[in-house]
Amino acid sequence: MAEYSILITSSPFDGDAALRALGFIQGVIDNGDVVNNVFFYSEGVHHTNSLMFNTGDELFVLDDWKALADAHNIKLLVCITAAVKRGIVSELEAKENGIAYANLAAPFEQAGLGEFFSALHACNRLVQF
Amino acid sequence: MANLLIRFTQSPFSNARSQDGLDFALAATNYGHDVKVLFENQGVLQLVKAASTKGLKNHTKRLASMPFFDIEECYVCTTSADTFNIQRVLANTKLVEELECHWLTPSEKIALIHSVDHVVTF
Repeated sequence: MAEYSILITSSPFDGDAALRALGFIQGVIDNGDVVNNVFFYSEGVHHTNSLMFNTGDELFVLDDWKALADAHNIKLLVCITAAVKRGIVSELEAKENGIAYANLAAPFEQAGLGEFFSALHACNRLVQF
Repeated sequence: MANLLIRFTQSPFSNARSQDGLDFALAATNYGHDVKVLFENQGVLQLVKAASTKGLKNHTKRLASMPFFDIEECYVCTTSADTFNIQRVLANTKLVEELECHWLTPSEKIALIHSVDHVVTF
């Protein structure tokens, strides 16, 4: 049994990367392997913005991430530094910094690169999208 | 501990990838991973010395700090440098010396990629 770490560095509107990532993760699960975590970094943090909505004629995968996390209890971690500088803040940060709204979507959890690299010790595979 | 190869493929200031990639590489060594870096495609432009701009992090200086984070193995794609016709500029750049960069042919690059556990591209 292999243990995977998935790194998402492409934004939801960068081509078909999000679809390939979701398909790949489903394949890993179907094979009986384990996804340790999905880590959203760099432009990938845009996946966690709850202020995006489906325009109908474009790819929209926010609901797919939610469904994936619900169905398989996979940790969806977002790099806090990368997210904050791209305008994605949690309730706590919004409150502490006098920002009117929090827009970090559930069930994404904030984490640091440290958590990603600590978890990587347990993983045989790292796959980037 | 994992052996990581970080590929820098973007020019230093056209987008945030270079900075994100460097942050990623430096953080990896803090958590016990072994990191090698490869400059290829437009990433070779990161090795050309950049002047400081007030308010911007100086990418050249940050790259020069990699040896202090135990990133000792740095590689440059010869073909990419040729494509941008900057090999002579790079040869005179202190950064290439400071990082003790090795020049790689395409087949050596493939061997490098096969020698590590994980490859991450920025």
